[in-house]
Amino acid sequence: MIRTIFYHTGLLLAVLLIAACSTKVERIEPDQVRDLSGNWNDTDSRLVSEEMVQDLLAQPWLGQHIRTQGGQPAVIVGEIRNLSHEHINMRTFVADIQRALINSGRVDFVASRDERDEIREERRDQDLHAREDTRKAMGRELGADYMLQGTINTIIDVEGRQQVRYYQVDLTLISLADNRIVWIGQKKIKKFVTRPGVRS
Amino acid sequence: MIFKRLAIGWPSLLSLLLVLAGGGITAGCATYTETSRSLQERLVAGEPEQALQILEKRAGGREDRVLYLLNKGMLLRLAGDFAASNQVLEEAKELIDRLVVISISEQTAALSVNDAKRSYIGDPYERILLHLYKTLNYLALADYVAARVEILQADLALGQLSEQERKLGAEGIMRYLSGLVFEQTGERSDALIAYRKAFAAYHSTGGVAAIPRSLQLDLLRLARRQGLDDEVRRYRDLFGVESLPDDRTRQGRGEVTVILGTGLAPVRQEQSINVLAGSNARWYRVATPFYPPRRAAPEVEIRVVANDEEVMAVLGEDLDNLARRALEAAMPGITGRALARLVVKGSAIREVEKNDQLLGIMANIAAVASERADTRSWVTLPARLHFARLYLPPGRYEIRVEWLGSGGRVLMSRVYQGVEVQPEGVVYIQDHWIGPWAVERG
Repeated sequence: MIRTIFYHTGLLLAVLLIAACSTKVERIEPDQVRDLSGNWNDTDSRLVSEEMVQDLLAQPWLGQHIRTQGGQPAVIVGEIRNLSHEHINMRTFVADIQRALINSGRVDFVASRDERDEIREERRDQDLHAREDTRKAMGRELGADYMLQGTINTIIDVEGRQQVRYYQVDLTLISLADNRIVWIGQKKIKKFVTRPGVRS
Repeated sequence: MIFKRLAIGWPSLLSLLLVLAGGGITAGCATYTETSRSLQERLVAGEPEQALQILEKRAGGREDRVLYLLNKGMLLRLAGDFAASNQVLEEAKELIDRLVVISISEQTAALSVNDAKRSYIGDPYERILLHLYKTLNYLALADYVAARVEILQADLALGQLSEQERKLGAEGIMRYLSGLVFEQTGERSDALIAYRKAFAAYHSTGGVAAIPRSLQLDLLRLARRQGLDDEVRRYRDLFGVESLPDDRTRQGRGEVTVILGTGLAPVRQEQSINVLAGSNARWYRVATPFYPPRRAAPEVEIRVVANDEEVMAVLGEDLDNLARRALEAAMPGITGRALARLVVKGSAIREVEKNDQLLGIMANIAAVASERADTRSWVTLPARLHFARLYLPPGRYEIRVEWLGSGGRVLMSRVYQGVEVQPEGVVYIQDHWIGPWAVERG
């Protein structure tokens, strides 16, 4: 009995030593879904932003704005707060939303506060150094009509090796002229994650 | 001749190799105690950068990776690099997540070589303190959203501990800090819930006496703000508070929150029993970890002074005591495994001996040499954590923190200049005074 145990232990250790030696890298397409830990990942960021922007553009506020103002609205992305259990990279999420909105071609998009500061700095520099016919004047920026704000919330329920991870992304579009909320979007993601019972 | 000696059959040879391998790996290097002491000595000398260099040199194997990261995170923090500290601590957290799952090969090694062959994942209280220190780092970086993420993760982690583990899980201080963060982000009802949980956690470990005074006042303040009169009455009776803390005095004032570490966590050492017994005179050895009794470290009190206002800091957690109680609770398991190893190693030696007496003796030596206690623990933690909250009119302050020994003698004093208090704003001052008495040489 003891002999057999030691024999198998030895074999197991040998196999483990060999198996632990190599790193494998495989290239995959950015849109290919590959869930590892169950955490918020690139696929969630992309799917949520695409679906929410689709919904945003399908609602009546857009038509109403064009009718009353006679042109397409200018939108700015404000703060999207991470109220979740995870350190989510909000920059990629905001970038995904911006990309989906700009590429729709149905709204104008205004640079964020940080980006604006850098551009204004460049204009100030142009004032001093650029040729007159290429110089861009101050005070001719496009003011935004609406600001997009939001939150990401999570509810996580854990029992032993199993957990349910629930994400809720809420976005609101607010009119800068009169604080009217013109659109509220919500997207929910639910994941069921089972962790392994043993490792090597 | 050698071939003849080695013609002992696969199982016996493997048994021998297994015991020799374990012996070979562990006999050369001592337990983790020496590394722990070297790190602490550098810290006592006020040289966290040198401690980092020592840590890099003695990073240990794959099974020590989490401990290396925990110590590194703490040393980076002590050196003032909060962002790097958080990066390293996050790596530790992710690794622990993967390692908490039982490993068959490591369990086998723990039962055939020693406990230190298992990947270090930290005691439950160390895993909670990992969140605590990440939160403190985020507060130092004024990243309150990330601090909030961290306290939510701590809440999840606490929820996964058993009742017994929670009592040894540093829950009180973690919940208290969570309340501070919720107040910072303007979520008062969540803050009150966190304070209530902190209250329950402290209460379960030491009754009303264990509840920090400032937490008592915070509970009263927030319960009153929410209009929960019954709760206010209950707390007043329980805490013996005569006059309610006046919330109006806070209006227009800012807050200075001081979070202070003192001393260093105790270092685990090895104790062993070695016996020569049996008809064929075989050595038996059982090694287990222990904490030497606490030296007469002065019970410090901490006073925080800002102009003409002063407040005594409250003890948030006695980590020295917590480490000792946690080891005590783990001892039955540790001893059980040590005894199981005795049986496993004994059988392996018998197996070898059957074929060759000399190899049997070698196997015995290897088995004894490989029997080492697992003395790993997060030794760059402070021995105690204190909190103080001051509400001050807006302005620029010089904040003085004084560590007081017996009879109110000032042992150490540190001054933080140019502390800018904004109306309704919070300034965090974090520090760690290690003191001259920390390192225990066995």
